[in-house]
Amino acid sequence: MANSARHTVLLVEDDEATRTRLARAIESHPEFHLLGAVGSCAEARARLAAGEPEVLLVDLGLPDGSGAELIRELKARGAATESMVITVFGDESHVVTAIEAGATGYLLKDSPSERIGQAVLELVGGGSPISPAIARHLLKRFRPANPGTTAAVALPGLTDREHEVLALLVKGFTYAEIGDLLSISAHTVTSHVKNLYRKLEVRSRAEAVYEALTLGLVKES
Amino acid sequence: VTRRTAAARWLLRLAAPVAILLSVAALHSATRPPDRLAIREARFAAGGETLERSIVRSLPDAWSGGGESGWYRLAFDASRVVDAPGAIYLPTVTMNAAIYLNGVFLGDGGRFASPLPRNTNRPLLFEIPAEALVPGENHVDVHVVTEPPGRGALGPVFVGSFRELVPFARRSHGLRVEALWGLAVVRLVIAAFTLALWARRRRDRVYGWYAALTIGFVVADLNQVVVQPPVPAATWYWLWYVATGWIAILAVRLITSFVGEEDPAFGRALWIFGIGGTIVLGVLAALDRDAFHRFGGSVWLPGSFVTGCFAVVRLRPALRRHPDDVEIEVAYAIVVTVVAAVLHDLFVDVGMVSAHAGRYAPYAAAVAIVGMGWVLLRRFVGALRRSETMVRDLEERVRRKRDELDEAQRRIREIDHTRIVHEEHERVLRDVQDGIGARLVSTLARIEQSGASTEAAAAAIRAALEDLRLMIDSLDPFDGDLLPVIGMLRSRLQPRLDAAGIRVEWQVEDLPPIADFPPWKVLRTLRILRGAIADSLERTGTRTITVRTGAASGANGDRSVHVEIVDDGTGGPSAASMARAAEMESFALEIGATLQRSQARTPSLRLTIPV
Repeated sequence: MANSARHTVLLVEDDEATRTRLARAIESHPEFHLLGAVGSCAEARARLAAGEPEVLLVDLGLPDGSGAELIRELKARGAATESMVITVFGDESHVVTAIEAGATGYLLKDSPSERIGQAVLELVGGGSPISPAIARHLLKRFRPANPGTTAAVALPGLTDREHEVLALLVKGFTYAEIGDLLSISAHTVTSHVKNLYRKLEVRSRAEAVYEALTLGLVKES
Repeated sequence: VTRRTAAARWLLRLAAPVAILLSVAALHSATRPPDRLAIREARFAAGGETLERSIVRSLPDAWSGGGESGWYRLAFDASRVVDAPGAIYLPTVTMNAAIYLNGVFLGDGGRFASPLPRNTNRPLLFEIPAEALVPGENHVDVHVVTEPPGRGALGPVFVGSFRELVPFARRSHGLRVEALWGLAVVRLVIAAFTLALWARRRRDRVYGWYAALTIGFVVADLNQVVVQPPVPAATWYWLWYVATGWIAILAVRLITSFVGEEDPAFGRALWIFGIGGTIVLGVLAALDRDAFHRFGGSVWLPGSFVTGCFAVVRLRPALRRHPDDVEIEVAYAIVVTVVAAVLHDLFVDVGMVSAHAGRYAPYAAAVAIVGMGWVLLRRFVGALRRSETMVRDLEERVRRKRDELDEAQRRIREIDHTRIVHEEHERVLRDVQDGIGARLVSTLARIEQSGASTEAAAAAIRAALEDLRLMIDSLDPFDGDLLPVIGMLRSRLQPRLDAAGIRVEWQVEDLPPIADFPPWKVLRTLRILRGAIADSLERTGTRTITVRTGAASGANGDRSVHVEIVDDGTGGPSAASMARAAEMESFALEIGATLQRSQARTPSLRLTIPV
């Protein structure tokens, strides 16, 4: 397959062994073209300045900053890059931080090599992984806000369908099982999840604005 | 120095009563016409006797004992009347009189039937028609009637021109009648105000006594200002006796309450005296008029006076204890003034002092009411101020205590938080040691002893990582919700199950929250369930693992939730499985759960956790 037809990937991981392992997994996949594998935010920014990849695989804890900053910068530039954080544990706090920054997926660092390519491919195809703990976090975050908050800043809420999907995810059902239960396709379920990630990112930004308004850091226009 | 100070104090204490009584005397004196117009000698004949048998009496005159009427004949020269018309002025008569000049009827003070009009305190002025006056000597006949019999009196009689006498008559009427009506109205207003205070502060009975005393004075003074009683004479006198006696009782109650020396036994004695005297007076008034007045005049009024003197007695210790208390000084001066005034009026009533001198008690009482009103109002305002200060002080203390409580609670929370963090650290360390630590040590031992393969080492490390992830997952706030817990376990194990080609039947339903489900219990639950799935994975031919949840209520009402893991594999438990079973039983015991295993055609494990 020609380079131009493959999905471009930039890998940012400070641990050399892990970086090498992940890079090999991406390079060996026929549908990906690895633009680069770097170990710091500075190197990543230099690479990103030269061109935006379709997929950014990024570790959160980098020696000169957080991977979340890189994701946020890409979003601010309006890049169409799909960001996926690489995490050791896939725990709620790290993943939610990344999603709030604009990430739409996460990948465990010790995932088998064949699983790595598949996960990135699912991300490019519109899918996003989610655990019951993260689903539970989203359900809590999207509870109706207090009137003062909504009056100052418009916060995105959940549709009934999204709420149903999240409730089933919390109970441990897979996308396919949820599709069967709700009589929709598994692909639709993944779309809902991705939308939820985007809403969380928007909501997070809106809440930051509201907080700034409340503290008088910015003025309401 | 102390003696001088004490003497000065006593002088001041007596000066106020003396000044008040002298003022009242001066007021009465100002209502009297000049002495040159007075006739101070008359011939008196008791009722039923002729003037031929009369005797010469000086005016003012009072007769004690004897009948209910008498005649006085006075003589004057026509030259006294310098301007026509002339007038005859009777400032004081007990109780009614009719005037004849040279045998011509000039007028009277009202009807001559019981109840008689009460003119003792009402001046009578009669104009002399020109035709009634004869040149030279004229004689005036005054027919005096009284009720009860034997207490008649006639003050000096003044004869002069009408123009000359009328200002004194008006002045006297103003002081002895109109002023007393005015004072009565003022007292009733004060009584109403004080009653309102007492209603708000029932514990301060001094306001109640004060209001009752004020009303008592008003009732007693009615006898001075009402000319024609609306009730029979006996009833009217009963009312007056009772009011006068109760004034003394109420005054003592007021003073004892004021100085804070209320003696229950003494209080009861006063009630007995008051109620008993009232009843005796009532009975005598109905049965025997003479006995009624004898009891009233000789027992009840002197007894009431003596009772009233207890007010002075009760105040003296308070004066000694609080030598600088202005309120007690004022109260003492007031009580002494009233007692002296009442003593004076008592002398008038028994004929020892002429009624012509005027009555002191109503005016002294007015001063007393105003003075005590000032004292009580001052005390009320003081109490309000103290109350406000106490409220402020109390609020401040409550605020301080609340702050202290908040601070204590904050410290407790800190200590509690530190304790929880410490316990959690210990638990995490224990779990790390028992879980990932043990796995790593075991892996290391196998590598060192037998040179385990890379795959085996990788598998062991993956298992260690998996255990570490379970530990981290257990730290999420699940709020007792079991489904996301087992959902997390599924998401962690799903890649392994997928790799092994095992399908999961996820048959879960909503569960009630577990009340006590902290992270360490979550971790043990996860380890038990992971062990069950590991058993299924090790069994031969396992293609499907079914996970079911449910809730149940026991016979004794205890509720529980359960997780059941069933697989379709075959074969008995492996050595590793048997080792896990003991560990899983131990975990279940720790979290208060029960574990049931079935090795039937479809092996299953059921974990039941109390809610």
